[in-house]
This record gives sequence, C-alpha cells and structure tokens, in this order.
Amino acid sequence: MRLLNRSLLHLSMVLLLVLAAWAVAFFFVVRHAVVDSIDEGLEDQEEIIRYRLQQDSTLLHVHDLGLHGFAIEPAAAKTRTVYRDTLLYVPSEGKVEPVRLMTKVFKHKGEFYRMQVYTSTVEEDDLVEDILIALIGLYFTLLLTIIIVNNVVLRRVWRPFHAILAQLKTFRLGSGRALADVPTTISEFKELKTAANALVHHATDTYENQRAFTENAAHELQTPLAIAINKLELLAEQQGSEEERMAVLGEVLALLERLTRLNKSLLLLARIENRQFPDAQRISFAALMREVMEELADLAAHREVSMKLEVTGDLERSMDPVLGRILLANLVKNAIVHNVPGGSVRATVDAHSLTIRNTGADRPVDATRIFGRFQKETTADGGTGLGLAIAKAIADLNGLRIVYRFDGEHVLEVRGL
Amino acid sequence: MKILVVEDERELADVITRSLERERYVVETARDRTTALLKIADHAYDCILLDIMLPGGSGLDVLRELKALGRPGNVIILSAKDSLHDKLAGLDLGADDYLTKPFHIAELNARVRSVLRRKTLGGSNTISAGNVRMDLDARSVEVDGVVLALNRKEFDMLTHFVLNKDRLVSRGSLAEHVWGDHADQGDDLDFVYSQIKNLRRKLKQGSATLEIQAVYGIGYKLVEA
Repeated sequence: MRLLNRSLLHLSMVLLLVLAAWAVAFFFVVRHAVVDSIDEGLEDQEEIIRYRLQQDSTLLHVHDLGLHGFAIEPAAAKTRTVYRDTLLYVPSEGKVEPVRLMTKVFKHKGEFYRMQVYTSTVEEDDLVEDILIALIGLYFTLLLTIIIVNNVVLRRVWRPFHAILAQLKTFRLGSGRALADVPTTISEFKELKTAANALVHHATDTYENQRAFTENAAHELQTPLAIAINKLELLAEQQGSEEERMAVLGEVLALLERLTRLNKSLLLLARIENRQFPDAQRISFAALMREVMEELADLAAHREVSMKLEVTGDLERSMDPVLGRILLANLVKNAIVHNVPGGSVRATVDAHSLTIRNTGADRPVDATRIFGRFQKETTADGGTGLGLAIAKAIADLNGLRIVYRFDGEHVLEVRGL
Repeated sequence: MKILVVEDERELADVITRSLERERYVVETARDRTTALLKIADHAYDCILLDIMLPGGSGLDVLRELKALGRPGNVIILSAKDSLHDKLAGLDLGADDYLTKPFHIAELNARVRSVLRRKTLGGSNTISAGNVRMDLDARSVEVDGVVLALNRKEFDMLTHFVLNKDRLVSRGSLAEHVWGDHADQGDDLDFVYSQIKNLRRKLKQGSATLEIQAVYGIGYKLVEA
C-alpha cells in the first residue's frame, strides 16, 4: 500500500470517529438551543393570552387544549411553572404530535387559574437526520479535500524522495558515479540524502580498495611465479655443475616459500575480516610480548639488532590468543627488519598501551600508508608487505588502535579505543 | 611398514609416495573416498595419510569407518584448510596429527616417523643416528652414552635432522619446525645459519659421528661421517 493511501486510510478512520463524537455533542447543543427558544415562545404566548384575558374574560372558559392551543382552569394555589415534553392530539393536524407543554398558575381578579399552553415541536428524529446529513456531507468534503491535497501537494513534496530512490535503484558499484544532487528543503529528505551519499561513498571506497587489493595480490603472486618458471626453464637447458643447478633450485624454492607466506598472509587477512577467530581469552600483553621477543631473538641477533622489553604495568585484553601473538610478532618483526645493524628495538608495556620503538631510516614513513597492504620499504627483504596490514586488521577487530609516529625513532603504539 | 596415502591430487600423492618409498615403506594410494574405504576394509595399515576434502565425500568418513572397524589411530590428516574446527573434529575422531598444506616433505617425514615410533616402540620415545641417541620425552641427547648439552632450539633442530637423516632439509622447513610458523616472516631465513653453526660445533666437540652438510642455496643434510 502506498504511503499516500495509507495515511488517507488512517485519516478517514480518525475523521469518522471525531465526526461521530462531534455529531452527538452537536445534537445535544442544538436541541438545548431549540428547547430554550420554544420555552421562550410559550412564555410569550402566555403573556399574550393574559393580555387578551383583560378585555375578554370568556377566555377563562376555554378548556379544550387541543383546539385552541391553550386551556385555563381554576387552581387552588400558586405553583411553580412546569415545562414538559408530551404527546397530544392536535385537531388541526389531525394526528398525535410531540408538543412542548407549559403549565403556569396565575392570578386574575383575586382568583388563581392554571393555564396550559403548548406548541408543537420539531421531532427529534428530524433533527438527528438533518445533523447526520450535514455531517456526512462535511466528512466527504473533508476526505475529498485531503485526497486532493495529498495528490497535488504531497506528490510534489515527495518528489525528492522518489528522485533519490530512483538513483539508488540504478546505482551500480564500479560505475564510478556518485549520486547526483537532489535539491530539497525538507530536513528528513536532507537526512536521507546524506545517509544515501555516505552509504554510496563507503561502498565505493570498499569496492575500490578490494579491487586494488585483488590487483596487487595478483601482481604480487605473478612476479615470483614468473621468476620461478624462468629459472626452472634455465635450469632445464643449463649444462653447469651440480652445485650451480642446486643453487638455481634453491632460488626457486625460496621463491615458492615466499609465495606460500604470501598466500598464508592473504588467507589470514581474509579470515580476520570474516571474523573467523571466535576464541576469546584474557590475554596479558606483557607476558605475550616476552614470549614473542624470545622467539624472535635469533632473527634480531642475526640482524645485529638489540632488543629490550620494559614492563611498567600490564595491558590486558580479551581476544583470540593466536591473533594476539600474530599482532605482537608482526610489530616486533617489523621493528627488527626495518632497522639498521647495531640498532635497537625497545618495547614498553604499561596498563594502557604497548609501545615499540626502533631505530632505522632517518626520515619518517608516510603514516597514512604504513598500514596499507603491499606497502614495502624495500623489495629486497622478501617480505610480503602485509605484516602491518595484518596487525592493523587484528587491532581493528579487537577494538585497539595502532598509531605511528616518528621522533628520531620509529614508534608504533597500540592502545585501547 | 605399510602406509596408505589418501589424496586426490595426483601430483601431490606422487611426491608423497616417492618420498616415503625412499624411506623403504610400502606405500599404497587411494584417490577418492570409496577407494579409501575399500582399502581400509581389506588391509591394516601402519599409518594413513588422509586428505579431508576428497571427491565423493569427506575424509572424516574414512576416520569414522576406521573407528567403527576398531582400528583407530595412526592417521595423519592432510588439509588445505588451516581451520581450528576441522583440526579438532579430526583429532576427536582419533587422528594422531594434523598437517596443513602446503607442507615440507621433511616435516611430513618427521611426523610419519613419530607416529610409527609411537606404535612400534610402545612408549619409549627415542631415536638414534650414528652414535647419537635422543630421548624425545626427556629431551636429552647422548653421544656414546655421554650426555650432550643442547638448548631448546638446537635440540629441535637435531631432532628434525635425525628424523630426516640422509634427506635434504630446506631452510624453510627447518625454520618452520624450530621457530614456528610465522605467517609473515618477512626475512631471508639466513638467521638459521648461525644456529646451525653452533649445533655443528657442539656435535663436533662431543665427537658425534654425525655431520650436517650444507646443500648450497637450499638447506642442509645430516649424514653419518
């Protein structure tokens, strides 16, 4: 059901109730006013009769109420004037009619008389009928007005909505089009426009990222594959010594191992983003850091990099232990690999954060790109360029933030949001 | 020793078979679920290498069948999926070990050896090569009965070498076995070399009859001198 018709339906039902209540109230008010004016008319009539009585005392002997419209008879004493609705045979009409009857006692020449005056009244049925007809007329007039207003005015008012809707219907990812601007002054539609634009931007950004990522990943896989194939082709036609042939084999093996690492990293990223690590445990970053640094001590020693851990408090976090280990290992490895011989890696853990600072190049790295995928400082180290991207994905998943800064040393800091 | 390799990828089954035959095992292969079920119904194997994703059904069915036959155990699962769920399901059904593809031949070799050893030696977990004897439970090494002191990494390296005696052990395989599987190692694995140097020195000082030969550009090989 269209919004227009739905609101019309509700309105018509509510109007029906309101008008029904209104009709009842209106009926009583009108009846009250009518009765008041009839009573006043009866009093006037009575005064006129009494005036005529002064000249014509025969009126005192009029007893037939129906025929003369009034009747007078002697009364014992003064009583209160009474108005009453009753039925009376009216000879002029020839039938029984509802009448308003006033009974009043008056004094004439020292004697009390009771006078009855009546006037026929409108039948209540007629009144109800008239009011009903008037109100039904009003009801349909109102409905018609609303329908016209809805169709003409609201249709125009809703136009921006339909324009935005039409754009969303035809929107396709990768078409590179943003939503065209729809001018509107209505705040709800402005909000809708903003939300739709934000959604489209987010979807487009994600799509572009994914596309760039796929391209990069394909490229990263392609290069070592090409090299490996070429080396094996060379090996097939090479006449060299056993040692030379083994060297080529070794190079091919190294390439394939690099591919394996790359593939594992990509799978890991996908699994992190698909949230396939549901196993949350309480993790002590201080203890985990100690283990990770111990594991990487050989790599650091080989690179002639000294490592030091300083614990002043313990950052604790509920997360998957495998991911926690990968997060810290990737940060420490990054600090060891992008270092200089004789350099240092210093890690600090306190109650709120974990900081890893390392010596290295004298200039800062682009902080916006450092966590990007396939961002490599050098191509020579055999790294996949995914280490910090994975670290960031893990941090994002667990409500942690990693920030990079440069103060002569390269600093990566992990803290809770 | 009779080993069944259940693996649908022909090339991989081939490589595994050839490597195991070099160790003088009798190797049979099954390339789908039905063949695997027929084979285990007819023969008893000392060790079964089992791929999980098979044509015609899951390798886990083979595990269930083995359990139903009352012959569980001695199964090493080979899976492309590094998922904890699959791993636990497999180990629950009585598998002994779980190896994620791709793996190094040396690693597979070591795992097969350790499964077979557990089966045949009835608890005593020792391996030996030349005049070197290693107790894997006590983590101790003796050369001609004299204790040789090795640190944790040296011990792990030597275990890997002894289990792959006379076979080529690549640096990647060694690094993964000893230093663990770091998804993004980002390094050239040269650091393995300094550890090998220490191990060689210790073996020489203890007058072991074992020698770790370098295979240029690839890795190392343990031979009896």
